[in-house]
Order: sequence, then structure tokens, then C-alpha cells
Amino acid sequence: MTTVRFDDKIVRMFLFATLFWGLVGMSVGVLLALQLADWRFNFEIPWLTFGRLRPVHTNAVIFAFAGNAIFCGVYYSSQRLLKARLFSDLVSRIHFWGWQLIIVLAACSFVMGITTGKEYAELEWPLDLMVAVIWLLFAFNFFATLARRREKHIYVALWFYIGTIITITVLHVVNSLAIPVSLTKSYPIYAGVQDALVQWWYGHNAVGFFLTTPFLGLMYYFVPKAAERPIYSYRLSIMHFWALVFLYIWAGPHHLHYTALPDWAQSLGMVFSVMLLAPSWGGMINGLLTLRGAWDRLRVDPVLKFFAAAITFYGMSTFEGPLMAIKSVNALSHYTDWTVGHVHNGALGWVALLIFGMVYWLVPRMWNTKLHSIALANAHFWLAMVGILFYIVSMWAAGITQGLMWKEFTADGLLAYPSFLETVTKMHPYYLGRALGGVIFLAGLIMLIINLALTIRAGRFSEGEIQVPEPKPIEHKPSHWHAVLERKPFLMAILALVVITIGGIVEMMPTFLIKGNIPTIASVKPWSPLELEGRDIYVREGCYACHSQMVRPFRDELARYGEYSRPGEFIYDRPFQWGSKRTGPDLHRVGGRYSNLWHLRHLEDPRLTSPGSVMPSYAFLTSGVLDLGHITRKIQVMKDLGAPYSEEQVRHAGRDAKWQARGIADDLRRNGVDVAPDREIIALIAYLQRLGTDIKKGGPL
Amino acid sequence: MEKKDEILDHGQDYDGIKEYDNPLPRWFLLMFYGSILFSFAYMAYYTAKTWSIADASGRSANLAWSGARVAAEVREAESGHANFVPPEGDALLSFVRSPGNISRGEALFKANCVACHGENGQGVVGPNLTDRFWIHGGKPEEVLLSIAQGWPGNGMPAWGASQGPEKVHWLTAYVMSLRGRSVSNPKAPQGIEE
Ligand code: HEC
Ligand code: HEC
Repeated sequence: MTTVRFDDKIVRMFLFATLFWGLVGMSVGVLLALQLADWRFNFEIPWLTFGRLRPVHTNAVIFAFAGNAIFCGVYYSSQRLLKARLFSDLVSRIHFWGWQLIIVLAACSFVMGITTGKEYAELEWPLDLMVAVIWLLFAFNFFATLARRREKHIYVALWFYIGTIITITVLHVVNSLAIPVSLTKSYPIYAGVQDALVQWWYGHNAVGFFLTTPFLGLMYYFVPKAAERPIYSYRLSIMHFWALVFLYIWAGPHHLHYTALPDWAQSLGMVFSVMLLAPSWGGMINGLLTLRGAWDRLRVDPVLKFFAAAITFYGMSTFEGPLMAIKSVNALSHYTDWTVGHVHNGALGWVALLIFGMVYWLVPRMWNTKLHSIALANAHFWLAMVGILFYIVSMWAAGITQGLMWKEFTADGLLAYPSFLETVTKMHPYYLGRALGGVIFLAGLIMLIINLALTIRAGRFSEGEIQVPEPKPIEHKPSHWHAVLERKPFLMAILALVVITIGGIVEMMPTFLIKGNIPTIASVKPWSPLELEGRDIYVREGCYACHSQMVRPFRDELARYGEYSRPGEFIYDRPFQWGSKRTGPDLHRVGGRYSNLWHLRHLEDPRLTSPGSVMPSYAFLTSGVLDLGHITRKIQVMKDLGAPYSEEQVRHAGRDAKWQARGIADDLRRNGVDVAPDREIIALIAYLQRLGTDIKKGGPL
Repeated sequence: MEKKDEILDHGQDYDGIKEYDNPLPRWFLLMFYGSILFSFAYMAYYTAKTWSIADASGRSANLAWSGARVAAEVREAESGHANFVPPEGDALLSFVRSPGNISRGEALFKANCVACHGENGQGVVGPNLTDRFWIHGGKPEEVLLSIAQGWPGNGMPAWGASQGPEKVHWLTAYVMSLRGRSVSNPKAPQGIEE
């Protein structure tokens, strides 16, 4: 017999990081909620404007809070399931500190406006590289530990970890491919429709493989441990694991219904989302039915309460998801707060509650003591429920109300709410309700931290140990066909890789290879140098967090915005900026709709032209001087990527930009306002005025 | 009938975690197979549909479905307004005085014109429409012309093509109704007094 001592110090480090980033990420979330309820919470500080802060929140809760929780839970459970200490303490430490460093750098870069402008993948290329390195170290550490395991077969939790590690690697690499312009700026190698397809293939599977599969893995370990009950069904585990991994990958296009994405891809995205319902519920059934027989303990044990609620929310959001992926439902829900509600259904209800349950269970065990206060934990549970309720109900009401308002026509065939602003101010009470829900949920988290801090103070930390017969791994003969695979985790990893690649290839290749999928439009020309700079400012400020650039083929959108968007209009858009939420109106056809002066006044103080608007003030763009230092390189990169600029245009990019800027400044002066032509706001106005206008210059569509 | 709740013996020790091997619930399997059947049926229907539309319209199949859908939706909605006969002379005068037409015009004005003419027509970039001064004339025919053809050289877009004749008339009715309305911070007069 030898003694295996587990590396629980690393688990402890990730656990503290989870709680710390949870606090940060949710606090920023509350601030954002307040900003939408009252624009003054932007404080007129560029760093704190909604567009820049939103990625701080999303990345902090997904990659910092949930991410650290995954590492914490994976490292704790894997060592025990494999009966082996983690392969390398050093690699574990590099993994930990590298990840925290990335998070800090990410937060700093986002508030500075350094972003790729692709949702949930906003990190610029140097940080993307760091993520890749650290993630691969994690993968190495995990697989090396697997190789040293003392239990021949691997348990279902580990299948999910393997699926996660493989898929996230593929997603991150493919979606991040870009050509650097400088240390802080790059252009993706994909443009327009293709960029959208790759991005949402990534985006949807970030949900699938960062917020679902790893947490299902954690569920398979922590729920039976806490409930002290057997898993309900082994064969259900097999079926729903493989179905989930195979089907998830295809569902991305449901984020792009009725956009300029080819119809066939949208249809595929929809049917695969519908097929996802059953495999997702497979996980819920296995979780809930494992709790069978422990129902009586549910009343007294806060850990089980959190687990039962988390699994129930998982079932709810995986029902809501396929529902919203049905095209006719999506026609109403997309771009509204319903989507935001759906995300939080999963994020607060499933991910956060599961994490809370996990840490309430872990801390007393790791510190060899009892939870400081069961009553406080129960109170936290109920606060969390009330918080989620406020959040989700507000968002349902807001989303459905606004979606219906946008679509309503009068008997005369006119838009019932012609002014978009009217549909924004209607949201105010719901936004207050949401902010309240967020505050309540955050208060619960603070209670958890206090409770655990007191528990830790009372206990004594020690690393777990087990006795194992040495030196041979325990051998068993496979009793089930799938058990053969369970003995060969590397084969399983390769199989998972194959399974997830199929969907991606079938959906993406045609748009890359078959020209007819994105018919070009002769009158659509590349951006001028000044417009490109303006576009980069648009990306930098995160205008896409509130504005879409995608007029869908509906009667109301035609009446409100104009001609619906065509695939060929986006071929020079790197990154694409279709957006996913219309807090403000769509901007694809805004070019030429207003005067330069209107844009200037509106951007400097939106309340001036649009009383009650929740858009932040961008007066700082009038004082900001446009940096034309990289313009030649930017145009050159665009040219290398296929935009038909001439050598002349590349060489004279700076001059052309200044020339165009002077024209806009002159126009503003004629209308009585003096703005120096070298200001950022001039470039932004140039971009806005060009948006969606090329199509009008050509013949009939 | 399979046995329920029997511990599966892999012979492994997963940190004390045991597993049953219960059969999958029937409703669950029905749901799964049902969704697969639905998916095949949907894709078949979709494929047949888009091919026929693409053939009929000569449009490439990639957005044929979306495109055909919107065309049908708009056609149906506008069908009631197809036979609009533009009123002239006295008929025009009574048309622009009709409260119904004024309120229809208001909705359109709020959607399209307030950016330049202000929430109440008091003038921003475009001229004040509530005063008695007109650059291009204040008779209904003249206002109609300003709106329909615009003054693109001076920053006033043309609306005739995008809105169609009926809506341009409603807009005229609303603009005519603005005259003499008292507004806060009106823009200084432009043009000639009536
Ligand atoms: C917090 C969300 C938010 C952000 C961030 C935001 N906007 Fe807006 N925007 C709105 C809202 C709400 C409206 C509608 C009310 C109004 O006109 O201000 C709007 C309106 C607009 C309009 C007028 C569109 C029209 O057709 O009337 C433009 C142009 C615009 N925004 C540009 C921008 C740009 C450029 C940025 C980034 C620098 C930006 N917005 C960032 C919320 C936002
Ligand atoms: C992009 C800004 C802009 C928009 C939008 C706009 N206008 Fe104008 N409008 C102007 C300007 C500028 C003038 C003055 C033209 C000139 O000086 O010749 C004007 C002139 C007019 C005039 C003539 C006024 C006169 O004194 O003779 C009328 C009537 C008018 N607009 C109605 C409308 C209506 C109705 C709409 C909405 C359907 C609208 N405008 C939208 C900018 C705009």
C-alpha cells in the first residue's frame, strides 16, 4: 500500500479565485444594469461606458468566475476519481497564475477599448495566445494525470472534462485567427457572413462547452457525493454525453436567424437546436433522479437545495433555448431582452447555483469542519431564488413587450411605435426590476463569502489522502461495450474531436467554398481610410453591445429601417458587427439618414436629440485626437485579406483620411459648429454616414 | 421488464460513487426520436420549398425563403392601399384638414423627420415648420412637393420614392397642421413670410 496525497492547495487557490471573480463580475453586472436604467451611471468616464464595460462583465463571469470554478472542481474531482495526484505541481501553479494574469490584463484592455469586437471572444491577439498556452498547459496537466491513473476505467465526469478540453481548444483557435495590425489591434481572417458564422459557432459552443459540459461533469461528481446516492442511469450518461457533444456544435446559426446568413444554414441551426432538447434533459434527468431518495435531506441541507435548483434551471434553460431557436419564435425574441433573460437563466440559475452548492460542500471538507451557518446558507439560497426571479421575469416582460411594440402596425399600415425611443423608455421599469434582481443575487454571494470565511477560520486545512495498492493500476474486465472506451481516454478524446468537427465543417465550408452563398454586389466598395478608422472606433467603444447592423426581412424592419440586409454588403467587414441586442435601433441603414450635425450633437449628448435615451454620452470623442499612425498598415492588411485597394490607396491612406475629415469638418462649420478635423468623432461620423448606403448606388437588387 | 435500481458493477471505485443502470424513460425516448423525425421532415420541406421559390424568381437559393417571405408580407399589408388616388385642389385641402390624416402623418413624422425638424417641428438642422416662413412655399401643393421630391442639394431628402404617394400626403397633412403651433425654443425663421 502507498499513500497518495492530493494537491488540494491548487484547488484552494482556484476556489478563492472563483469567489473573488464572482464578486467582481457580478458587481460589474449590477453596474451595467443600472446604466441601462439610468444613463448617468456611465459617469461620463470613457472607461466606464456601457460598451466597454459589458465585455468586462461577460468575460469576468464566464472565464473568471465559471472558469476558475471549473478548474477548482476538475482538479478536486479528477484526482479522486483517478486516484492520482495532479501530474505537476509546477504546471498547476503556472496554470493558476497565468489564468489570473490573463483575467487582469483582459479587464484592463477592455476598459481601454482594446477589443476584437467579437462577443465572448473580445480578447486581442496577444491575450488570445496566452489563453491558448495556458489552456494547453491545463490540458497537458489533465491528460498527464489521466495517464498516471490508478483506476483503469474513467468515470462519466471525466468524459465531460475530456469533451470540454478538446472542444474549447478547437473553438478558441479557429475563432481567434486574425492578422495583427499592432500589438493592440488585429483584423480577423474572416469577413462578414463567414465571420458571423464562425463567431456564433464559437459563441454558442462557448455556452455548450464552457458553461454546460464541464458543469455536467461537476454535477456527475458532486451531486452523488453530496446526496450519497448512486447515479440514476449509466446508459443515460452514455447516450446523453455523445448526443450532446455531437449535436451542440451544429446549433450556432440559431443566433443568426433571418440575418444575411444563407437560409439553409439557419434551418440546420434550428433543427439541431430542437434535437438538443432531449440530450440536455438527459443530463437533467440523471441529476434530478440521482437526488431521488434524498428529498428529505433537501429541506435541511443547503448544498442539495442548490444542486436541485441548479439542475432544474438547467432543464428550464435547455427547454427555453430550443424554443427560442425556432425561427418564428426567434423572429420576436431576437435582439430583445428575452435573450438576455435566457442567458441569465442559465448563468445564474444553472452555473452559479451549481458553483455555490459545490463550494458549500467543498469548504467544510477541505478545512475539516462544519459549515459555519446552515441558516445563513439557506437564506442565501432563497435570496438567490428571489434575485433570479426578479431578473428573469423582468427580462421576459421587457423582451416580449418591446418585440411586440417593434412589430405592431396601425390599421393604416403605419408603425404603431414609429419612434424607437418610445420602445426604449417603456423598458425603464423592467430595467429597474432587473437591477434589483442583480443586487439581491449579489447580496446572496456576499453572504456566501462571509459564511465560508467564518467556516475557514474555524477549521484547519489539510490535503486529502488515500491508500492505494501499489504499484499496479486496478484491472477490471469491461462489462459493457462503452466500458472499452472508458479504459482508453485518449481514444475517447480523439473520437470526441471527430464528432465535434463534423458539424463545424458541414456548416462552415460551403460559405467559404461555394460562391453562390454570398453573392457579391458590384456597388459595394471597401471602407475609405477614415471610415475604417471610424469603424475601429465603433468596435473599440462597443457600440455593437447596443446596436445591431442587420435589417431582417420583416415588414416592420423594412418600414423602420429600410431595405433588408444582403450577404454581399458585408464582405469588407472585419469583424462583422451584426450585434445581438437592440438596446438602440439597428444602424445598418443609418447612413445618410441624418446630417453630420445631428450625429455630432447626438453622440456628444444623446439626450439633446433623443430625450430619455439611455445611450452613453460620447463627448470624449470630440476631444480625442484620431491616431492615424497605423492607417497605412490597416489598409495594407485589408488589401492582403482581399479588399481591392490600389497601391496608391494604400500609400496615400493617411492623406485621404485627412482630406475626407476636412470635408465633414467643413460641413459642420457651415452649420455653425467648429470641430477640428483631426478628432475621433469625425471618423465615427464618416463611418456612420457610409453605413448601408452602397447598395443604393447600384441598380436594382 | 428490466430491473430498476440495481447497482451496476463495473468493479471500479469512483471515489465511492455508485451507478444504477436504469432504462431510459419512455417519454424521454419518444421526445428524442420525435425531434429527430421533425428535423428530417423540416429539412425536406425546407429544401423542396426553397428550390421551387428559387426557380420561380430566378433568385439564388441562399436567401430565397427569407426574401419571398418578406415580399409576401409587405404585399399583403399594402394591398389595401394600392388604389390611392392623389387628391387635388379642394379635395387636397380637405384631405390635409382631416384629423385622421393628420394623426397618420404625425406617426410618420415622428419616425422620419424629427431628427432634422425637431420633436414638434420647431426646427433643428431643417427649418422650423411651425412658423409662417417658408423657403419653398407653404401651400399644400408646395409642401407636398418639398416632401416628395426633397431638396437634396440643401439637405432635405426626397421621400416620395421610399414612402409612396399616400404616406407623403399624410405627412403633408401633418406638416400643414403644425403651422401656428407654439413650441419651445423655435429655430429662427428662414425663407419668406406667407
Ligand atoms: C447603452 C446602449 C448604447 C450604446 C453603448 C450605444 N448606443 Fe447608440 N443608441 C442607443 C439608444 C437607446 C438609441 C435610441 C435613442 C437615441 O436616439 O439616442 C441610440 C441611438 C443611436 C443612433 C441613432 C439611430 C437612429 O436611427 O435614430 C445612432 C446613430 C447611434 N445610437 C450610434 C451609436 C454609436 C456610434 C455608439 C458607439 C459609440 C452607440 N450608439 C452606443 C443606445 C446605445
Ligand atoms: C436630414 C435632415 C432632414 C430630414 C430627415 C427631413 N428634412 Fe425636411 N428639410 C431639411 C432641410 C435642411 C430643409 C431645408 C431645405 C432647403 O433649405 O432648401 C428641409 C425642408 C423641408 C420642408 C420645406 C420647408 C420650407 O421652409 O419650405 C418641408 C416641408 C420639410 N422639410 C418636411 C420634411 C418632412 C415631412 C420630413 C420627414 C418625412 C423631413 N422634412 C425630413 C432637412 C431634413
